[in-house]
Amino acid sequence: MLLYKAWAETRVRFFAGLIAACIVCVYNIHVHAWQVEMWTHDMQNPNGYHFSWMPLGIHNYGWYLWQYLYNNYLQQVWALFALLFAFGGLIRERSSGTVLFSLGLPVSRRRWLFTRLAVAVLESIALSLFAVLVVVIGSAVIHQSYSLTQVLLHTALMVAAGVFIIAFGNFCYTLFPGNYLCLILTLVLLGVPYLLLQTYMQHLRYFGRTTWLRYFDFAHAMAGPWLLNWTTVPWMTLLATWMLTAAFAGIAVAYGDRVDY
Amino acid sequence: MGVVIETVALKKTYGKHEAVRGLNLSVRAGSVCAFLGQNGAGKSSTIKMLLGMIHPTSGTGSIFGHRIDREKESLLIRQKAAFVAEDKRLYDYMSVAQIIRFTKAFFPRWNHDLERRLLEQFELPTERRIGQLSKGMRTKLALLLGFTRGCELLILDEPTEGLDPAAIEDVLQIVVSLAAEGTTVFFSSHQIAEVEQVADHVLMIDRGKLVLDAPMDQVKEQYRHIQAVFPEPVEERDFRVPGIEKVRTEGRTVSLVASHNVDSILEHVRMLRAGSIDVLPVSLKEIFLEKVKSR
Amino acid sequence: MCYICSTVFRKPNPSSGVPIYVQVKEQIRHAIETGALSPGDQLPGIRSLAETLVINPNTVIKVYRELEQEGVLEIRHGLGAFVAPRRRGQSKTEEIRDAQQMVREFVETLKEQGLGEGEIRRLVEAELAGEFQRR
Repeated sequence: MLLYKAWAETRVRFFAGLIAACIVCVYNIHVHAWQVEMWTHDMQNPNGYHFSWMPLGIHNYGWYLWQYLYNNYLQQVWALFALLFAFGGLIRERSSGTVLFSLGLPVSRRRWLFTRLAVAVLESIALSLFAVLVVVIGSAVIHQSYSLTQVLLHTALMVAAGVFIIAFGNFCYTLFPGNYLCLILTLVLLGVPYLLLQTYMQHLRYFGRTTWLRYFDFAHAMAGPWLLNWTTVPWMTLLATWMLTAAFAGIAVAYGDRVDY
Repeated sequence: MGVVIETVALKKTYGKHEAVRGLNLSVRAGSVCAFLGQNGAGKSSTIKMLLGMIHPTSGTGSIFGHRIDREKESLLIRQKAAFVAEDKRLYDYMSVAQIIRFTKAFFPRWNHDLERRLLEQFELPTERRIGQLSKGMRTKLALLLGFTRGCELLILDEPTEGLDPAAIEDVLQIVVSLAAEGTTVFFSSHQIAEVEQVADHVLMIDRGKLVLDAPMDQVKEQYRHIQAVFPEPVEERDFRVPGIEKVRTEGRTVSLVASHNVDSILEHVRMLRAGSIDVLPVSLKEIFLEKVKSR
Repeated sequence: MCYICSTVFRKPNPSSGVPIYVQVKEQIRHAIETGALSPGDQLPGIRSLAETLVINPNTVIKVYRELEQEGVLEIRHGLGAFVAPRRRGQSKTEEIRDAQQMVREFVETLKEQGLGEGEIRRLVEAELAGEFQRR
């Protein structure tokens, strides 16, 4: 019943997320042909842009999917919604006046919290799998082939690294309850650095350079290199992410235990 | 069975404000115990501490022998005690039937008969969303969700607030009915009349401290208002006799509120050569007003 | 809800100076006097009466117990409370009713003379206490 309640409280967001993911995937798949044409045109034009990844982009649809979805836009949309799924909980109920009813039930505060987090994780996974479905259908429509395994692996990596977002979002919400306040705060604290770093590191990587900032490139941890296998999975970063996730979840638990309602 | 709720030197301080100061209360099994106090006197804080929503600053308490300040034991308390808060808001997005199903899942001893009866009696539309219910219906629903849990203890914070007199009577009747089955009821209220009607024990709290803790019968039988007129003006200090709670003198008239020892007090009054003496019962409302000192 | 409850009993007034249990005892006595309840009639169960009058069940228990001690009611174990059979000659309730009338008149007389209620009570108690000592 607790799972049902957490679901009922986030389902509108969930469906909004499905729609957003759908739009992102469909759009990028739709413009693939146009992009390829643009690049081919550029490559042939001695005065046009010549990027080293263009041949790959023109000939390898799988790379295209990775670059535009899992390394950028789908990842960002997914991250945003994972964050939104994490908002809520007992603290939120304080303002809606139902917290004493909830706390009066024979359910421990931790059970409330973990149920909430579990539902957020499940919704995030469902969202990512829905995106895979859209990619499969969309790619079939434009008659392009790719490696489903790679798509699934990237999905898995995105979610595995992305649980950190859920823990962080929940942690921020616990300390600063209020949907809008928390959203702005997390966007500033997490979102902006994440996006900036993502862009910057992608830029650097293009030139074959790297800096110590790579350890903070969370976006890269979620995207991984475009061809994933056991050796290329960024294990260290993943491990660091999970430790941070556990830390934020732990703080949320400890804080939740001490709060006076 | 003995004592169901017990607190020992329970204290709660918010920053500089001492909301609850060294509370020692005990509620016997099977009693209907009323908890009276002004707003801000510490009633809600006490109740929240009993149920683990607030952590005591110091002191401890237990319900059914389980400690209120230990999370695991607090969980056991909430399995056996049903709580209805003062704020009776519920999950707006659920329907009446859904929230009943939701709550039922946590209480294996749910009273299905009572649920059916109350749904009918309170005329609650099962398929309507809670967000669309009127405040009175929401209150009745919140009470229903508390009464039907099949718990041995009911803790109610202002149960009849916002209800019309007919509904209040209905609620009191259910409380009485549950009490007759052996349920212990601990409720806080501002409605002195309803307290006098159904409670058999009274607790009064003022500024964080317990100022009265007695069976209702004792209060009704022992508290007396003594009014005496003397041939000459008298002063307050003439009336330092144990049992006198409050003295008011005005010229030759004295008005006393006595909590016990009425006979000795009357003798004392007679010794001072009172001309006329009237001994009258005191209503609970007057006792409350006397006990709760004006700020 | 039993029919006797709603027709014979009235809800007591909790705020009057008279304790609820005294009011209910009075109602039962009155019902017996007027014949609404006859000897041998069964009184409502504790829970029924408590629910009808919306008063604490312990109050009902106290009422029945005290009336049993006064001989007005008979409590048959496991069955309930019944109106006690009439005594030979005058019933106890009638005795008490007569005594009540006498007390009423007596108190009225003393009040007319200017004595206060407290004083009257003191005098009566002193008399009874004196009685005790004299024996």
